[in-house]
Amino acid sequence: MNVILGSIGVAATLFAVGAYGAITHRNIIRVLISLELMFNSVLILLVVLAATRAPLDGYVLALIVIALTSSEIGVIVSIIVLLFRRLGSTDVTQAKTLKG
Amino acid sequence: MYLSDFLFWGAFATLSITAVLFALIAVKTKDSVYAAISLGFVGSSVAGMIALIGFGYLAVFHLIIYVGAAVTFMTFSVLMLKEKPGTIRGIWPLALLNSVLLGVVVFLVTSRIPLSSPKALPGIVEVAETLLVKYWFPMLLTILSLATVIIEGIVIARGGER
Repeated sequence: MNVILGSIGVAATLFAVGAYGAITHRNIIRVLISLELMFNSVLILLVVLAATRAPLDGYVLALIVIALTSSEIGVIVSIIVLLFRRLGSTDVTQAKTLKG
Repeated sequence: MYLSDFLFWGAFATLSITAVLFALIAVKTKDSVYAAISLGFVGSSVAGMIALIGFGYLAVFHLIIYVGAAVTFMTFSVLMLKEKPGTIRGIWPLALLNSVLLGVVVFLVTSRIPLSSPKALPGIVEVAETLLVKYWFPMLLTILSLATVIIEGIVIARGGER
């Protein structure tokens, strides 16, 4: 087993755990945390592919992806805070305002 | 096996196991604060793995920006919310099956890609030159997106005040 196969295995496991959390949780924060687990797994895959295919382009792509994901967390947490102020809860099933 | 190989594989195995264990804690714990802190540890482990693959500066960037800023911000925001943990009842067998299948698919699809041995990795100067010369437009878009996102976050957070 080399480091690439090991990394792919860890990434697949993290992806599966994140998917499980995203499906089962009702709390929007826990859903966000599960989605971030999936992001981490995809980042490992990106770095592994970059190391074997195109290191320079992969490096740049990974930098941009990390920066954008960090900012995305800021926006989503702001939305969660707003939702909590409006509803008094972070339960996704209670956020039905956008439903037609 | 040389000592350096032994240390490398020891560190890699430790980081892999740590990442998976903290991911399980993040999903299964009832307290969201512990879940957010566990996510930080997962991020740190992933940064360690990235460093072991050879992208040292990227690992530092991941630690500073993602773990140091984003996950810490999320943790302190979670601390402010007095929310109750909740799961969708009765869905866990289906979710477990779905997630296991997803993990297997990700592993099979990715491991079937013909991957050669790692190539010579670029230095930070080379990366900076590429970023500013070859990829200047995506870089510009990223900067604009980050500025927009900061303003958007502030506006959304203030929008709930009455």
